[in-house]
Amino acid sequence: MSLRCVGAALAATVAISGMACAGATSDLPSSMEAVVCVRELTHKNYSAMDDWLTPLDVPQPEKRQVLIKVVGSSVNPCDVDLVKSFEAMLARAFHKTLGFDVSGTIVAVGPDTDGRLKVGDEVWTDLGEMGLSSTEKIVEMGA
Amino acid sequence: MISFVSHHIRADDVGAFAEYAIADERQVGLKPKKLSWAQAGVVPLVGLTNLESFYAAGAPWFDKSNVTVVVTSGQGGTGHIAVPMAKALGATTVISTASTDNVEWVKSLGADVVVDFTKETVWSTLPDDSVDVVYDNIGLPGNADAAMKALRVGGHLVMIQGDLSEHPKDGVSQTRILCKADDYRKLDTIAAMVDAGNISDVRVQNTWPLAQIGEAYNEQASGSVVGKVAVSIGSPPNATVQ
Repeated sequence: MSLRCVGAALAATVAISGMACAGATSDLPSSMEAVVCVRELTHKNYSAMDDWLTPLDVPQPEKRQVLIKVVGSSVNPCDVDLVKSFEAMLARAFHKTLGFDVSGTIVAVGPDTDGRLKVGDEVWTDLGEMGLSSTEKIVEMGA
Repeated sequence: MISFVSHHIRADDVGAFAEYAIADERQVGLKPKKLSWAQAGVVPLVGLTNLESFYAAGAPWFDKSNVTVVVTSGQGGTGHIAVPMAKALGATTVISTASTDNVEWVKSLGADVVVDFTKETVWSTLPDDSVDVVYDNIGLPGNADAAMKALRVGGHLVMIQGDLSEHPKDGVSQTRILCKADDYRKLDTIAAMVDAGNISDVRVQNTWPLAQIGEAYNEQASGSVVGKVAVSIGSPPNATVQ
């Protein structure tokens, strides 16, 4: 498992508090519900995940980021792999919020964005990591 | 040994199963208006995976006259988007598979031939050296070797899970794809296919609220999902644009 990944996660955790937004709706709550990977699943019954719903601070968008109010998502095969596999350790270690697919609306825009996306836009996205080539990803997934 | 999750994990703690999510602006596209919120929430990851897989197999194929593409499991979450996408990218003939009850539906998605996988494998129906592309989104043991027999020289095998062939055919490429969520223009390409009516039947088998995420996982893990398992998280806000 790559140490680069660990370092990036720590940096992101530290940086996420207290950033100013370039633009936002006025009525954002301060906390939200999220499904956070909190422990290992001991057998292939995922019902225990219902207890993983966790209150978190609503994050604020940093440089080149947007905040999306999520309306829809889905469970993909890789979402299942993530909580039943070796990689689940990585996710648990950082109390990762699960899930990749998003449909929703933009409610805040961070600094230094290019102006293409605005508050109120109806959007969709896959929240996979940016910037790793397939080969790098395979290496990072390797034991 | 390589241990796979068939997608990459973010290095930070942000995810989609939450009322609010952070995204990099470069990975966010405008939702196609023809899709409901639930439908739009099930497409991005599988859609991007399909698109990158077809690009790896030489798509778009409009400059070629007769391109035959095999898409395994046309009724699954990945496959039911891949079948019409292959057509939209210029495939002449799409061959897919489904269970008995879903054969006609997968044909309606655009497949020219649909093999009932409860009766025979798609591989048993394919003459040697007869297809140009195999996009295997299932990766059952033996699939890659069977696909190699069916592929003709110049062809491409693309897999998103399972093992590549240990006996590749000379002149046939094989690739394993992990999709990158780094460019909204790929989402725009998929949105254009939706707007044009090429991808029109996004099937949501079931929708679960965030508080029952475990049941959504149980359903996905059952391995028999037709279409996608959706998660309903919030209602769209009233347009309170500042």
